[in-house]
Amino acid sequence: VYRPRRVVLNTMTIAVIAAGFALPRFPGPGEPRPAWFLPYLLAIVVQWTTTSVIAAVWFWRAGSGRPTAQRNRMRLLAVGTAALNLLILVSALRPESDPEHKNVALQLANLLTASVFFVGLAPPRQLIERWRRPEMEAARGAVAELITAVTPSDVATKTLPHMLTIIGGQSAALYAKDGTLLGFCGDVPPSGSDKDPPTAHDPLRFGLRSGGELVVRSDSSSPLFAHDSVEVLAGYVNLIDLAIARCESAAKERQFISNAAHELRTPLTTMTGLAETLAENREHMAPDQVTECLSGVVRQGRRARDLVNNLLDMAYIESGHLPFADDVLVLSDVVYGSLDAAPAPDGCHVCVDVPPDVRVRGDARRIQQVVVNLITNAYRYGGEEISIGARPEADDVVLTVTDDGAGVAPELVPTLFDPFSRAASANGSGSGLGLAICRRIVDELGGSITYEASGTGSRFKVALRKAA
Amino acid sequence: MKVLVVDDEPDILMTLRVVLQVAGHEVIEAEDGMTALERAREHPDAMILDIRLPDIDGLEVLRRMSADDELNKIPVLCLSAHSSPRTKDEAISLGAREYMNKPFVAADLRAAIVRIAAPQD
Repeated sequence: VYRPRRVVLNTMTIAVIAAGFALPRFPGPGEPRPAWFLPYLLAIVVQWTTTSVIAAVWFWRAGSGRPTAQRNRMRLLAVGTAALNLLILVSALRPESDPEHKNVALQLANLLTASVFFVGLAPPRQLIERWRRPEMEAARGAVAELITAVTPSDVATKTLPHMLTIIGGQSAALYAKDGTLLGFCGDVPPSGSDKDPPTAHDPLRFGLRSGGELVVRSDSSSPLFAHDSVEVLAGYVNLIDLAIARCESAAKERQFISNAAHELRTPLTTMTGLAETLAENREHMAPDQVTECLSGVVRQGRRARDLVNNLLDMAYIESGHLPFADDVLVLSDVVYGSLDAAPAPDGCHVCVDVPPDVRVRGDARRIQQVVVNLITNAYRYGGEEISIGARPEADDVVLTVTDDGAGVAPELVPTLFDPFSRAASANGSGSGLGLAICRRIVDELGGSITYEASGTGSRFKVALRKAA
Repeated sequence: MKVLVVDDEPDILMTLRVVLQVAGHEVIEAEDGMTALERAREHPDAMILDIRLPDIDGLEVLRRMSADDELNKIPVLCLSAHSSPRTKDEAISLGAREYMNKPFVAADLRAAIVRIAAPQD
């Protein structure tokens, strides 16, 4: 109700109440009515009628643009309020009634008005469900749209309009975990990074498990009975969470495929470039140039083979189809087996300090794969001195591989065990999958793998289950 | 023809060198962006430039070359594993004459070098 009207209405109400206290006495039934009584009665009728009309209009307007159930309930209250006022007017203006012969039409109207109020305030469940059908249709449409969403922004674009239909809000915005606006729908544009511009009413906020947030705003006449829609919306937010998680997972897969293709391009470029050149020009090339080309083809062929093997290993491990034995192993045997498989290149010295009585549980082939990966990395990125040690710690045995190289750049450490996390600047011949595979193998074996800086070099610590 | 080849992968550099030498071209090499800018002052007739480089990337090399009167006439062929249209468009807008994806066909690469080094209309 606008302020000037509210002032007039309040003044009228106070005047009527004050007049009621100021009256000497009310005339009883059958008594003659004094001259002051009629103006007083008129003032009550005018004040009550004005209040009722304003309330009815407010209820009606507040229902506009709301979900069907909410709108119908508000409009029933508007009709009930108007009907009640009409009944009072009719009762006040009709001739003296005969208590012995009540007006049946008036009684029926009273009953009807009470029913309208009752249904508006507490509608039967069946009626609510019937009223909700359009919003349920919208929700079903939104779910169908979610299935086709490819990115989190797509999720927002496809679903937020349905959100507004469900809640009858003014605007809806979906934010990512870092506060980035993924999508927006409605009348009030978001104000930059300000997620909560000042409004007459606090927006509804739904936290997503992924860390983001759905914010729905209503206008200043945010009506009663919104809790039904809020419940529907809260359930729907869980589906948004699932859709965003699916999109992020699909994006990771796409990135993985893209990275794998990128890694394969270097060996393919070299092999095809050199092979084509040899095929077309071999007779014109010097012998040492031919040898150089063949060496390049072999080197990059091995690199491509290792990458493909690593990709297959990743796929097997992720699918859960790679079997893992659970044997009792002498760790030093596994370490020396790894050094046989990946001997130190010229210029590198490996010092092994693994007591022969240290035993672990696990799969010898897979643990050897982890150790080979770690020492190969040390050969590639470390310095001249590499040490391998092991010591029992509580229920584990901690195997360490330490080098005196340049170490891992601090910005790379958080994603060191993710696939293809190698620095963009690194031109090593690794596949970018070695440490990711190590982590997955160690996880499957019930252990853990961590990295720590060691002076100027790197230290990888692998915790394996100690055998009894 | 003297060609400057820029790539951080030693085997790619070797491949480019062999592919160009058998066609009679002289090859000079650089493994990063800053070295590429220095060697570009040796007046190569053409340049093959990788996009992903360890110090400044190929796009930045192009940007600096286009702002340098001595270097902005060198015809550049971008050769990259970055096959996104956006990267290609950016490279072309920064002055690259052509853009080729890895892995390339050796004969196509030789033809492209001759094409970009030819006098422009």
